[in-house]
Amino acid sequence: MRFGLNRKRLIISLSVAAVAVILFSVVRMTGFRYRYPYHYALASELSLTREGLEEVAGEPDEHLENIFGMMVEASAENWERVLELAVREEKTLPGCYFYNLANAMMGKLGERLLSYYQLFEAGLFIPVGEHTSIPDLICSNEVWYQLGEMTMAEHHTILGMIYSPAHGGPRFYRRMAEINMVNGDEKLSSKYLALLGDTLDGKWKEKKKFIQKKDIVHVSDDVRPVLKGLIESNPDNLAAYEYLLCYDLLTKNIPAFIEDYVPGKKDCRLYQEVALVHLASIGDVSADKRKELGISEKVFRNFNHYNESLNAARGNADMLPVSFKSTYWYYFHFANRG
Amino acid sequence: MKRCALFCMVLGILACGCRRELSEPLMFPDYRGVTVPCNIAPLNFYYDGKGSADAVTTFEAGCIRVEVKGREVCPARGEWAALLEAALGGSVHVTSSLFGEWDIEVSRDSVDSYLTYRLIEPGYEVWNHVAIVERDLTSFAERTLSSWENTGNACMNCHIHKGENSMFYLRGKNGGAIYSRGGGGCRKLNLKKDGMASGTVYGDIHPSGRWGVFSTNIIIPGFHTGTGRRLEVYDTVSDLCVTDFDNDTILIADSFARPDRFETFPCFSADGSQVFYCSADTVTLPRQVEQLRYSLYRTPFDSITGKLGPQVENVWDAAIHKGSVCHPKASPDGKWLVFTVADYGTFPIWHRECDLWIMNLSTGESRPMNEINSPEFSDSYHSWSSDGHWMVFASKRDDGQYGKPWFCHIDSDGKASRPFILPQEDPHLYDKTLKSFNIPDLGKYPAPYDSVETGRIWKEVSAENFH
Repeated sequence: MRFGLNRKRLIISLSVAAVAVILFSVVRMTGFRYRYPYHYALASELSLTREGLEEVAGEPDEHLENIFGMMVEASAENWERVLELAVREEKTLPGCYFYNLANAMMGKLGERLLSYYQLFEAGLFIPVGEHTSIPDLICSNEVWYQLGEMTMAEHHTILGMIYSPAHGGPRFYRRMAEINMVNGDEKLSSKYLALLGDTLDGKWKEKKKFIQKKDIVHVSDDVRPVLKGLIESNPDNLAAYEYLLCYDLLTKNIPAFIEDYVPGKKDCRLYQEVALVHLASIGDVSADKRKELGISEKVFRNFNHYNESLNAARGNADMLPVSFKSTYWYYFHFANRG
Repeated sequence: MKRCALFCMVLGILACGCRRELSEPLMFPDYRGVTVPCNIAPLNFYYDGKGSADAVTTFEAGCIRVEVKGREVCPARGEWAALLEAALGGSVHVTSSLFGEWDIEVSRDSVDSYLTYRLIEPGYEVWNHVAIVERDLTSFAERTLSSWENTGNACMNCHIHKGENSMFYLRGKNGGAIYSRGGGGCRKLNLKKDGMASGTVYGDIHPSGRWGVFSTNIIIPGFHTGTGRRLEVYDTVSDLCVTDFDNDTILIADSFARPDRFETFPCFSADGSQVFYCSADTVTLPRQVEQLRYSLYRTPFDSITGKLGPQVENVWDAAIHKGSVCHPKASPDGKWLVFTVADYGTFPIWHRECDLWIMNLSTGESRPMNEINSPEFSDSYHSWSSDGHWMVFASKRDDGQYGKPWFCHIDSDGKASRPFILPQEDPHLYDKTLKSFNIPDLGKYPAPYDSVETGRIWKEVSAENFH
């Protein structure tokens, strides 16, 4: 009889403990989802558990949450939200990469480029190598896809997939299906759609108009011919045009910039500032030359003001007025690699 | 109103659930009308679409009759073996409630029982979690010969068999060529010496096991911007060399390492008295890659001294054929040479137009193997079974992205049968996998090592230096 009672108590205790454990797990999971919604969303896109994602990226925190947020929102093409998150992650590679991409998608890359800390060309195209982090690898395809360069988009998506711990996941399947739909390769696309177990929204159709019409062969880090090809194939691809100009100016390749720059194609103070650097370097800032390169009087006046201030400050960046910090001249003089 | 909404929801769910079921039936893999070796594992396949759940498939040969019901058609191994035995030299008759009737021809020629391949995602010069696997073709058994898990996630590639000799590369730190001769223990070799552009890359082992003929290549991955062309891999330097596995030496002849020529993809003739290789004039790369066309050459090989040449004969002229040749491999019976032809370049797996060609070595006549080539995607990287009657090759014909092993029978006139894909225990595997079956290679004998042994060699054995 006593044994029977003890047994009953034991069963009740175990049941209570089991319910408590389940409740605790549910509360913990709900809490996690509430606190880190982007961690949760990205883990599921990569077919990983929360712990699996932690193994790759580290303990969840606000910084990672912002990065994952940019990755998730960029896939959904919510550019305003990407920008909002990128501003919180200034001076990080993903922050810079998504800041530039979001602005390009909103037609404001040149306008806003130097209002943010730039990491040279790495902030435009994430350099992929032995030491690239897995989250960086996973998002490196985004810029190519958005610009309409499907070979590079596919290459980078496969790279992400190769290094992702689950070697796959809905995020990759969706992107591979989109790329192959754009390329007109429905057979391959259907393989990924079957793995995805879902259909695509129609956004990929927008990319079809950007398809490269000319075939060239290039090595992976030689991005200029690729961007030029995109522009030649579709002169309305302004995002590709801005990426090309910004690539030239961030690498301080002024001759390349002048070769690629089409005055008036995209009205932007920054591009006029770069064009003035070119005129100064050839020693001809005459009104005719300025007009030829679409340089406004205001930019020219500001250039003179900058030079006067620089001389007065004896080349000391800290002594220059803050308003010059977002000019190309400031970047050209003071931005150093490493 | 609520009832109506509920009814609509149920109807919607049913409609979604039945969508697949209502579509036209399909069958994958499609083994209709193929010829198979008498020792092949069951040709498992599945149906999908309308009527697939209730499908009935019957296999008949002699007095053996096997019936399989349902979507997955996976005959038991014992029953399948009995069917093949009963149909030897004839055919297995198949009746399907969805697709009618067809025959599967059963050849008396058996295929070499072991197929090795590298399982890798289709990237280039990028790897993670790579393995070289050996599949027993008479069953579904797989054995890992070398795994990323035991080798510090090293890259590994190019497994080749020649009789009882086999070799593959472990790349990177602690790497080397892992060579097993005559089915014996493994050696780890550093097949590079001063003056070589790189370590050895593509190559072949002499029938004696003493010699190897290889190319050294500086390989550059390029990318196409045009749709559907993907990668363009090319060499900026490539030369030939001969390795002597008895004396740990590497022989380089100036006439096969010319700075104005690319020389690559060497292979021995069946008797080892000649070497076939591909060669082209150098061009400016990548700009002139479309002008890069390799011809096929033959040169004598002295198996006493290990010397190539001096005569060189052009046996397939790129200018005449307006194509570029690579991966030649001679059949073990000495009758045929099969090679790959693309419009241009040296790495054709991403060239959709890339096809297999066959050359009659007694007449020198060659032709594209249209009976097996896919019109849409690349067919490349073939390997012969040791009797010269079966061949495996890698084809991207299913989807253009993932290479898979396909088999065909070669008759006495050099004509190939309708090819079939490597059967899998799970017939859905090809739909699910995101790996290519890279460089399939047939072998009569199992490799005398496994991943534990190669892991030990990687970790503990120093590579023997060649000079």
